Amino acid sequence: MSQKQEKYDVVILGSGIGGLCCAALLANKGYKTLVAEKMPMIGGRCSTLAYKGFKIPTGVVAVPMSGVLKSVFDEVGADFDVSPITVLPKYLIDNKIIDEPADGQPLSILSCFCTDKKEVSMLQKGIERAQTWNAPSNETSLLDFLYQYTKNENLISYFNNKCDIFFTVGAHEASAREYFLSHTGILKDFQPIGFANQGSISLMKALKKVIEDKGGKVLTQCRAKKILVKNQIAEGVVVEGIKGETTIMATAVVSNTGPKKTVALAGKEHFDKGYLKEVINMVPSFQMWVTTISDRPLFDIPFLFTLKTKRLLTFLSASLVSPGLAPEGKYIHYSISGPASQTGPWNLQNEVDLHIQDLKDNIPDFNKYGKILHVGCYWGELPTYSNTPITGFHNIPQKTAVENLYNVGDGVSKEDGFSCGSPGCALTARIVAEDIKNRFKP
Amino acid sequence: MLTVNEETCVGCGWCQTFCPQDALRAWGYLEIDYKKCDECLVCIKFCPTDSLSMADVSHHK
Ligand SMILES: Cc1cc2nc3c(=O)[nH]c(=O)nc-3n(C[C@H](O)[C@H](O)[C@H](O)COP(=O)(O)OP(=O)(O)OC[C@H]3O[C@@H](n4cnc5c(N)ncnc54)[C@H](O)[C@@H]3O)c2cc1C
Ligand code: SF4
Ligand code: SF4
Repeated sequence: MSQKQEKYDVVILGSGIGGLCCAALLANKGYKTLVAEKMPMIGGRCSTLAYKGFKIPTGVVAVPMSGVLKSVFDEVGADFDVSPITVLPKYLIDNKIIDEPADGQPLSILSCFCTDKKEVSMLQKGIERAQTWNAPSNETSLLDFLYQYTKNENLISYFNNKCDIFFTVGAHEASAREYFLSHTGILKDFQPIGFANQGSISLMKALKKVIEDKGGKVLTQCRAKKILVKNQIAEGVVVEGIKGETTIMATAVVSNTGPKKTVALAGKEHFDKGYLKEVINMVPSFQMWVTTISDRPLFDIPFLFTLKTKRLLTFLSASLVSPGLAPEGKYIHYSISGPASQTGPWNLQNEVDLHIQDLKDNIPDFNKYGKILHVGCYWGELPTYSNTPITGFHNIPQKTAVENLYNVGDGVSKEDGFSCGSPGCALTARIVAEDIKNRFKP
Repeated sequence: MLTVNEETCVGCGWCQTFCPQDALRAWGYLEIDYKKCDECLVCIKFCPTDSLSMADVSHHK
């Protein structure tokens, strides 16, 4: 097979949201940038599957409309076609619907779930202390933290639901420290939350356009086979495309394939034992997304949090915000569930059955008018989050032991803690792009 | 014959959405309707975990 050779400033492996944000930031500053994506489509877990006229997410649905992700789009001038959710969410608990109070104050929200004012106030003060004075230990679970102040079932179920949705892990397994640090940090980016009008793939296409307009390339069906390392410095990659193998020399290599694959591509002899152990011990999380379609909306608000169910966490009536996700006159809904434990064993079939049973039991119009279009399970090699913030969580940094080899995406995070979902990926992209800009000129 | 590696398939259902013959259904596991599959190979390219392959069974026939 003939071996071609090319030269770039930066080569990025994978076109997930972390990879494309990083590529767009660098291409925009004049770096000769190449993105190599193994799949025929771009976006990874921030993309959209078109199926029977409907748009099904491969991951990101709730798009943060402020903070780091938005700042990347603004900086590079990429189109951000996202509509905000302007209606307040509701909570379904014990067959009753609770409206989120309009003032949005934590105390008012908690008071909806517990009438004992003293208990709510104690809990609220405890949370404030955790957020502004001293975060709990990384070994304390969110549930153990809450138990110091309350055993109220409704309050616990509220936190459990929030934690499971944004952290993809229940309160009994989540690190209380990461939970509270995120609430004063990255989770603020989700104010407001929006849905991409044509699915999240439109955001990825907008970044791709920036990269290409600035002279960069985004190649699909181009799989990284090897990261080339010489004297502990990254010097390029070998990729395999439709036309065979190509060697690409680059000053910096950015992997969006996750730390595990990065190690395999570069060769584990380049990494120290402790790092390899941390990479092996990463805990990917499992969530299931079910797409239900109908001829009429199955619920009257976009965001319904479902508490105290067997598995169901939330029911999103996405068409109410972004009608373009379904054909005219049709409605699309996404529902999310997670297993009882992210670390314990679970059975996929059982998880699907429990999710559907919950839809039947909790969404009255589901039985009458709903039709399941698609069931998607995300775990293992295709996780919801690559490194779940359970107790004892270790963050893996962007830089690796190999000089000029970086990771971006949800397998890595900033130094002071977990950076979740799409804003977290954008943050890792920004940190890496800044570091590259400081180290060498285009 | 299309085969799925059950060890690596996560049941994401991406393949289902790309099949022109509507021969696939993910429901925790992947069901293949061999009566509908015409071996076009499209789904193989779209499996994010590389779990699909076309096994050559011609010598068994
Ligand atoms: C069902 C689900 C729902 C979610 N909902 C939300 C949400 O609402 N909001 C939110 O913010 N986050 C959400 N998340 C989390 C979010 O999707 C992920 O954190 C984020 O998309 C991960 O992006 P990434 O940059 O790490 O890369 P990924 O999306 O993992 O992309 C990596 C890319 O690398 C490619 N690749 C792998 N190996 C190679 C190779 N050898 N050569 C070339 N390319 C390769 C892959 O094909 C892929 O395209 C959700 C996740 C899931 C699964
Ligand atoms: S795309 Fe691959 S991993 Fe997903 S359901 Fe199909 S075979 Fe399984
Ligand atoms: S080979 Fe083609 S027809 Fe057969 S299941 Fe895959 S996509 Fe469908």
